[in-house]
Amino acid sequence: MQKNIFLFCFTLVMATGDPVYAAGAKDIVKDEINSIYWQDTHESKESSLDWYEAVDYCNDLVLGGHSGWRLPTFDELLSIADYTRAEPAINPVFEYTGEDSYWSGTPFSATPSRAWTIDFRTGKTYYNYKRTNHTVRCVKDIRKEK
Amino acid sequence: MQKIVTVLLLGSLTLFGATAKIDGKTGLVWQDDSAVNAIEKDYDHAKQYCEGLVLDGYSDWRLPTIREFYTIIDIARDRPALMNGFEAKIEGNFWTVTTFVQNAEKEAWSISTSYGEAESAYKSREYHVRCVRGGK
Repeated sequence: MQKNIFLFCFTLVMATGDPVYAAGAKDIVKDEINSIYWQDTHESKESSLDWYEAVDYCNDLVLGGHSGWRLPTFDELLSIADYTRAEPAINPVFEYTGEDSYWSGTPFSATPSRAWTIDFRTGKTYYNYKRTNHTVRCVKDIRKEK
Repeated sequence: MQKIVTVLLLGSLTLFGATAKIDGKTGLVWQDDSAVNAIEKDYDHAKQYCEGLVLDGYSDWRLPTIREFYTIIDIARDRPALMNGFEAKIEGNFWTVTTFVQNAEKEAWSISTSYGEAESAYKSREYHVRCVRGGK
């Protein structure tokens, strides 16, 4: 059974500019700065999909009863990189981070056969071929309260 | 001739410091003179160059962090992948002050303005320099 516990994101911002989260929950991380939820499951660590499969994977994902997931933009993905750390160079709120590049939904402007990725071993950013396999961490927009 | 570009980080930008979030905007001021195109330095000299720079009467320049540099990168464009508004638009690798934690003594992060990718490089490499002031 999927746990459906959201982490609370304090509005504190450390000197590095990274958001600070409360620890202790799994599966979904709430990111109030970007107004999105982040997937944080075993598949966020183990998945190996090409870009087209990654798009479909997020579209089809149901997590904690929630559908409507998508690939993060490059800027969203960059916001969780933490250049003060390595292996993984990611905000420590995330429990499941693999040793690979992660897909963004952001296309590479110079050629449509590539898309932007971030390798969370170090934080290196690059435009990989869409037909190569990398890891996926989906996001979902937080619906605005009215 | 405009030599400095002021970039207002508006409320939608949430990647950066507390001031940006609380005030809704914060100002980073970027060097944009011909030296940006002309000069290449190793990391230590790039840092010294910014700290010693006096431009338009200001002397509080510094080498930008990787996050700061990404605020002027526009990856919806390429060659250069640089936001509109700059006069010095040379394509090439630019130093950031952010060291590469796995080899902080010898390596630091650089960003290419051709396409916008960031990679670590040995500090002895001679790269372009665009200093920044303000912000935070």
